[in-house]
Amino acid sequence: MVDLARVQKELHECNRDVQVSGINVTLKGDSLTHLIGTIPGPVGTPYEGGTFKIDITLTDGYPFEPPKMKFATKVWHPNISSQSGAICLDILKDQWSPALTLKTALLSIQALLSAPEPDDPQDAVVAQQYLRDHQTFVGTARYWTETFAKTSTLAADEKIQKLVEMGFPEAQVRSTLEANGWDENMALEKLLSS
Amino acid sequence: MENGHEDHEEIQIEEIPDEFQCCVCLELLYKPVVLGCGHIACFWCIYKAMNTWRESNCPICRHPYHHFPSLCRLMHSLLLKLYPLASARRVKQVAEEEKEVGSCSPEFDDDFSESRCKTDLVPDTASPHSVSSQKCGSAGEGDHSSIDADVPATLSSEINKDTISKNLNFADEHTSASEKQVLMTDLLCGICELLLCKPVVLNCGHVYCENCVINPSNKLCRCPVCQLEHPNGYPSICLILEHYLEEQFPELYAERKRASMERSDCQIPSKRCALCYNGDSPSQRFIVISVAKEFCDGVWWREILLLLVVLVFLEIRTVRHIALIQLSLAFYHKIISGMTGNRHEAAGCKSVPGFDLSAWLTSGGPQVHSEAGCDYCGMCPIVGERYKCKDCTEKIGFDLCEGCYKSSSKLPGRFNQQHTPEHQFELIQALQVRNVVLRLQPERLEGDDSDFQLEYGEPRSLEPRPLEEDSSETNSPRDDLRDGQVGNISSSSTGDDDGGRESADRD
Repeated sequence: MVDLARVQKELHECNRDVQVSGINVTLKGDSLTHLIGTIPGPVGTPYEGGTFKIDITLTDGYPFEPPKMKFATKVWHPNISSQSGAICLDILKDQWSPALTLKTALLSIQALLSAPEPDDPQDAVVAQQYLRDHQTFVGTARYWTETFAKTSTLAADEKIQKLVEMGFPEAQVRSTLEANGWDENMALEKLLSS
Repeated sequence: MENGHEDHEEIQIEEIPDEFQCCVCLELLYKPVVLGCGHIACFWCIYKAMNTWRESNCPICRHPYHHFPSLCRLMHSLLLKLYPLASARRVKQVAEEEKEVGSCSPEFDDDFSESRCKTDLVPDTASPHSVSSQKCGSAGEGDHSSIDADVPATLSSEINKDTISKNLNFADEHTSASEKQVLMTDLLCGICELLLCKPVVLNCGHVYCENCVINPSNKLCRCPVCQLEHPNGYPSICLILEHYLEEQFPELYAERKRASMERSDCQIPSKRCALCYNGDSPSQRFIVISVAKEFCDGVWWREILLLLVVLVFLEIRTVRHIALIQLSLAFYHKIISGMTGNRHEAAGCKSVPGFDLSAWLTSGGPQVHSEAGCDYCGMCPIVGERYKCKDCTEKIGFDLCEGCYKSSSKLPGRFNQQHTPEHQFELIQALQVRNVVLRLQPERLEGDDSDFQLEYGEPRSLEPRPLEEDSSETNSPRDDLRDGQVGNISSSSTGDDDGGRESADRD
């Protein structure tokens, strides 16, 4: 049985200083066991400027068992699966302590973004790239942040849909939008001039 | 009225400072227990947070512990006085939870705790321990008779109404009035009977000044009231309580602290060298001796290394000491290595043998009873032998570890079990991986009696033993048996070995 009183307190506490920490937790549906956390990408990293969504599911044992967390936003990071969003972080597994909260767990994830641990990877491909070709890693991570963490994918789909309806081919619309940082008007001008 | 009620609750909740908030449930601490590291949490929060398979870690600092501490009455009554409204709300809340779960936490209302403290504070060392424990048992029964959980609920609602009406009358003065209620007499050390200074809370829940209860010459720390040893080294200062004392009695506390500093300064010269009883420059030698004890593990080259280190640290005139230290270390080794195997485990609850998972898997290590805690010393999970009460009907049961079963103390349980000294115990076998495997392939074991005993060790009943029997009769054969694995299931009664063989033959 999830301690709902505690979850409510945590939500209250977290939303009180959202301006300072930038960390926000909201309900996904009606139930208090499915939540969405958002963290800003740490400054000075390829993730800067992005807003990352984390899907949180509270198990029955919470707070005596860790919450299940995974990235809903696609991230290029050695300790986060680029496919599923699964996070490799000890406090979400065996090092969980009931004194930790959703907010502190999210803060730890934010810290993980700025300090990757390629020796204990979740995504082997990313980890290899991180170790062997750091430049490319930074580039890819930044690109993924720009693409997935800045504009919500739903809004992007809407923009594509809008331009496709004007009569442009979808592949061209997508590439032009990506090239122009998902700015609808710029992309439209480019599409018209080409 | 209802709106007013809620408003007052809101105010109360907001007034609780972070330090009196439980780190687990994020509510006001209710029935607080203090861990050895000095961190506080609610009784049920710690109980639920404990690991049932191996030692647990403090939720805040991850300090390892193996014993579920008893309630800290001093903190409990302090919080009741400071935050009567929030406490009343918590009483109600926890009573509902307990009703749902079907187990109870220790109950004691204010009068009871006060009277209990008074009786506790009288050091009745002259009277035999069994008598005092019986007294405690009967007092406990009287208090715990309200186990059907209806009574606490009604009680708490009454408290609620009372406090709310009070609050309505003295809405503004409420906080100041409640703070005035906390007197210095609520915060006295049980030993020096002065205001607590650097308070430490022992595993039994009693609070003392650090200087009063910790004796540097003795590695163990024993509660003078209940005679229980504090497990796992010295307790750390409870910083939250210390901070409260500092705020509440700033001048008095500063004075107490200064006095205790002076006293400990005076104490150092009185510590003479343990080897030659010479009093001069003792601190240096004490460092050397304590370093020596740390490093000394019987490996010859380390001892030589140690000798060199000692030479560097000390002047040449104390060479005599070094020789003495070396000699005494050699002796210390011979004695300790001969003794530890038997004596340390026999001590049971005092120092828990480190739990090694691999040893447990191969069943070479001690038995681990997951999900069972000792109701007296709090060891959870019980490592070694587990004795379960046959007569306690509560769902949570009543268990004792080997050390506490052998000792004379039979206090009421930690969850309000109505246990009495007349109840009978049975020895419970832990489920071990090896036993499960063996059960699947019993034919491998034919002809091996001892293994069969392990495998089919049924819970057997034990007669309630008279207390005097312990030391004289059981210890010597038990220690012999302990060397072999048979010691795990052998029990003190002599007919048992035959019984085991019979069961093996039967199968």
